[in-house]
Amino acid sequence: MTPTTVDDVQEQKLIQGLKAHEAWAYEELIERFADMVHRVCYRILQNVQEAEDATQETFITVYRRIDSFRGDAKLSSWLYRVATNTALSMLRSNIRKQGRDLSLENDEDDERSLPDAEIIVPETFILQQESRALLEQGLEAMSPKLRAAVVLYEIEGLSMKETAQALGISESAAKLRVHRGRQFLQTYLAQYYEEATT
Amino acid sequence: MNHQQASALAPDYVDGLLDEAQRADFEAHLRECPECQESVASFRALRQTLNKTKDKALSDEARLRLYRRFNEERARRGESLLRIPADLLARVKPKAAATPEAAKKLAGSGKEASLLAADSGAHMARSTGRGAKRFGGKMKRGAGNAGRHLVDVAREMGRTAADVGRIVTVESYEVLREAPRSKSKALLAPPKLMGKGVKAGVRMTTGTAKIAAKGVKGGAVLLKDGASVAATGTIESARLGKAFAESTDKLAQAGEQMKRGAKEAARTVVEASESED
Repeated sequence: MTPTTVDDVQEQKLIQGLKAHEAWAYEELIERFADMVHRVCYRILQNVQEAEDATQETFITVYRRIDSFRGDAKLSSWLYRVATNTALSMLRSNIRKQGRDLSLENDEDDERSLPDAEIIVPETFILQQESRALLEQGLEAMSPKLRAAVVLYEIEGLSMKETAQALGISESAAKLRVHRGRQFLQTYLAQYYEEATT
Repeated sequence: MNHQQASALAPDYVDGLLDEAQRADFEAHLRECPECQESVASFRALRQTLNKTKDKALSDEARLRLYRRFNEERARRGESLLRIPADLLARVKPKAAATPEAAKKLAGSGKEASLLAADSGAHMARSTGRGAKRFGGKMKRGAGNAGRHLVDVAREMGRTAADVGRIVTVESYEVLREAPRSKSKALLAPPKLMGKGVKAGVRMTTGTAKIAAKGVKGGAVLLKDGASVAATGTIESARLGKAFAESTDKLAQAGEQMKRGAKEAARTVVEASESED
């Protein structure tokens, strides 16, 4: 990536500092990205303590593997990817420990699996304060793979390309997951909307 | 663009993923279609509300732990340590002050206990060595079998002393090392250390029983091999028994030392926690 803006130049400088294991670079890394990494880990793991552990692991992984970062993507995209992988891997390990089905892989990235019916929940209902709590519950109920996509794209505001990079999948697969995640949330909200209006 | 086509493109429109021509077509349809208007508004509202859930900042305690974890890694590699921001330290001060203080107390008592345990082990080793040397002379004169039993006794004593030493030092150190990482770990450290004390006691008891059994075997062989050897064996066994008892006393003192340190550390953490509340 050739630096073109002030931000790009600053990022290049930071990456060089990280690769040289400079203390100032890691201080800046923590200050700039710790909240972001924690948010992603929390959203995927849905547990503060585990998210804190995943945040630590993410940063230590970055520290140990910074030499493998080629700079093709933005540093933040790479961090998102490491954080997502760390959190999903922790989730898999938790599921395994609990002896539950390891079905993180049960969401087929197949266009045919998209439901045909369009669910429209009125904007006014979605914007109500209680809908935020419902969405939190909906996120928790969603499969981890869809949740990771929704978190990165909808909550963190990454582009579809960055979301795909962070998840290590194609852009079309990322788009599908985001759409399916949104549909899941709308279905989730629709149940409550129907109850509220009947 | 018909409604079905437009409906499928609504999410992409909200995401800004349509090209210029598609967007123009979609917007033309949108102006005429209340259902698609509702759909777009619904997607936007969903995004807006989801965005409000973006509030999970890393706690100060976790941030401090992150700095410290980095510094542990960097220290291992001989790299310069990160500077922990002063305002972060100030915010975490009450808890941060309590746990290192508690850990210091635990470490202090752990150190003393380790010294006592080491002293006890050295005493055992010296006594066992002297006994084996004295007894070895006799054994040369005709009690080879009994010698093996005494070697067994000595080995078992060594194993017992090593195991007990490891529990009191290495395993307890692990507990001490973990203590400052979180309040819960600091609070759990005292019972864990007491658990280590009990474990050490159990190992000492099983070791003593094994030694006694081997001693009986050795004694039987010694009786067979002659009164002189038996007498020496008995004396040396008694000496070793005395040394073992002395070592046990020292280890008991070490356990008491750990217990006192643990209690003090727990009090420090609880007091800090109460004053903070």
